Amino acid sequence: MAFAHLHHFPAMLIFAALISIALGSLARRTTKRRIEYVLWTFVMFIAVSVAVAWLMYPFSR
Amino acid sequence: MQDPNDNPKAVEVASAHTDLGGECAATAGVSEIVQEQALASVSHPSAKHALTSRIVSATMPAMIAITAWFLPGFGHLLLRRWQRALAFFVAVGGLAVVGYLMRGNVFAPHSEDPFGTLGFLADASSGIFYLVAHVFEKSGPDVARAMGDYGTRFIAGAGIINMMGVCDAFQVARGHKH
Repeated sequence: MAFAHLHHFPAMLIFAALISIALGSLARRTTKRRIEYVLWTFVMFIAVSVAVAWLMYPFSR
Repeated sequence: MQDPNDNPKAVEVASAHTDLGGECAATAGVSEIVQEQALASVSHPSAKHALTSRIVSATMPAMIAITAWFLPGFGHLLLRRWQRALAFFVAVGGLAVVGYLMRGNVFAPHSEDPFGTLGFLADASSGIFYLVAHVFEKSGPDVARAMGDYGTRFIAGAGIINMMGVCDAFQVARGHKH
């Protein structure tokens, strides 16, 4: 099965997208604001994850 | 201080007010027992309907919460919040199914490990998706690989997100949130 052999980054994208959809529907009331919030949350998920990954990189070996 | 439920006069007063078409039994702060007694004594159909509506509306948020837990998004669907219903169904279902396909660990109800119990609570919070785990994960979990470990987190995340949806549906049903 394809999902059993995913790489880390696609797995993170899927997780971030699905969580962002749920948070966006909860946090905002209008459709436009929800879409904006979903996109913002998704981008922040990815940006913070990549930033933390680079911060941990010197300690990985 | 005397409990109004123990006072037969309070019951009489509640019954008398409901006969007049009011909803005194609920608004006067008397208990459900008094409400039932008042309901039994109501003769006017409109007064009986009003009192029944009040009792139904008191139990409705709990019913909404239970249905929202069992089928993610269904609580919001009953409340006519279409977007939230769709969002929660997609998010919870997506996380759970992808987690199963990644061969994440599904925690059983009986566990001697406290973390196993917490894992079970998180997994079971995804409602019907927990019950159909074996359909998607026929080969069982494989947490020796990174994806299997990630899958375990996906499945737990699905349950936690569904619990957020349950709390939201409960608040909307109670009228505390739009």
